[in-house]
Amino acid sequence: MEDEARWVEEARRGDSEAFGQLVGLHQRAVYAFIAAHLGPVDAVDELTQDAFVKAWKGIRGFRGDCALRTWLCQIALNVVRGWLRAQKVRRLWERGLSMFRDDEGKDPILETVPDRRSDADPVGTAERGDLGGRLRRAVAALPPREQAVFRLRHDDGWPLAEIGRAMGIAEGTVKAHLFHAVTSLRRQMEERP
Amino acid sequence: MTCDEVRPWLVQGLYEDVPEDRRGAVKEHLAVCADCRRASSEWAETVARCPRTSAPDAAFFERQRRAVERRLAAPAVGVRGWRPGWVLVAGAAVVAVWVGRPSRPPSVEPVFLAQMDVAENVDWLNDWAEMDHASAR
Repeated sequence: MEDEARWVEEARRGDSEAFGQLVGLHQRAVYAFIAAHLGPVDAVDELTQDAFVKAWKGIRGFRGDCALRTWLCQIALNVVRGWLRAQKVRRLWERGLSMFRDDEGKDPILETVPDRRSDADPVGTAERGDLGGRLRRAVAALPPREQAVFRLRHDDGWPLAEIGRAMGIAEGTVKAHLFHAVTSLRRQMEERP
Repeated sequence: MTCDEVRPWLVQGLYEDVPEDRRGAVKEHLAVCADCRRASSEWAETVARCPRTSAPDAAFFERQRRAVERRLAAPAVGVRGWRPGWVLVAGAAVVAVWVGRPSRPPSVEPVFLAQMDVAENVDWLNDWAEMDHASAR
């Protein structure tokens, strides 16, 4: 923690090497935080980098009112929101382009965009029958905040209080999201495949 | 404690998040409530069978850290790289091109349209004059 405080102070004075130390200290947490919101998609790596680049630009504004990790997660949350907005626009664009598809139903532009739907993924298709795969899809289908809370607690072992601070919600709300996530997953598990 | 009160604690108990001062009450409730015991064991089974997404390895994070450092060292590009001086130069260039553009002879079409406007105005003036004349009578 003493190191962190020193690196923050040096980074605020423009020392990028000190900021690099902070990246090393918190990149796993920021990566986990973003992955908890989006699931295991390739974009998580680049979005984690984006969050740190934004943090570097804004480090002078960090006054230490909260833990650095909390501050970084708040930046990461904004990055995630921006990415989701861009994805929404992309989907609208895809829908608009769908009317120009060729006779075989393939679009030359969209062929270059990776399809992340589970039914386009051969591994996901193979998993469909087994319980692990069904639960994984059930987690991905949870409402966004429930999903993020569940992943951070279940996959990454974050304490509930820390999840609340990082997501900017009360600890009681975190507990409620966790409860709904687990009970919802149980219902999914009981349904026949 | 009622079942509704105890159940959120049961879920938190799966992750050992029940505080010391609540554990006794939760245990007491479970000792007498078969429904909550069953629910608790079902949720425990669900959580145990739910796959955990594994974190990338150390090499991944090392690559990521180097990538961030490269991005911090890279000069700003694109719109962010513009400076006020460059904007002024670009603006002056646009004005110079506009002022120095070759003058074109008027095409037939605008002249024709101008004549149409005049003809319409004349018609309108004539109509107005006739109305004025009639009212004067």
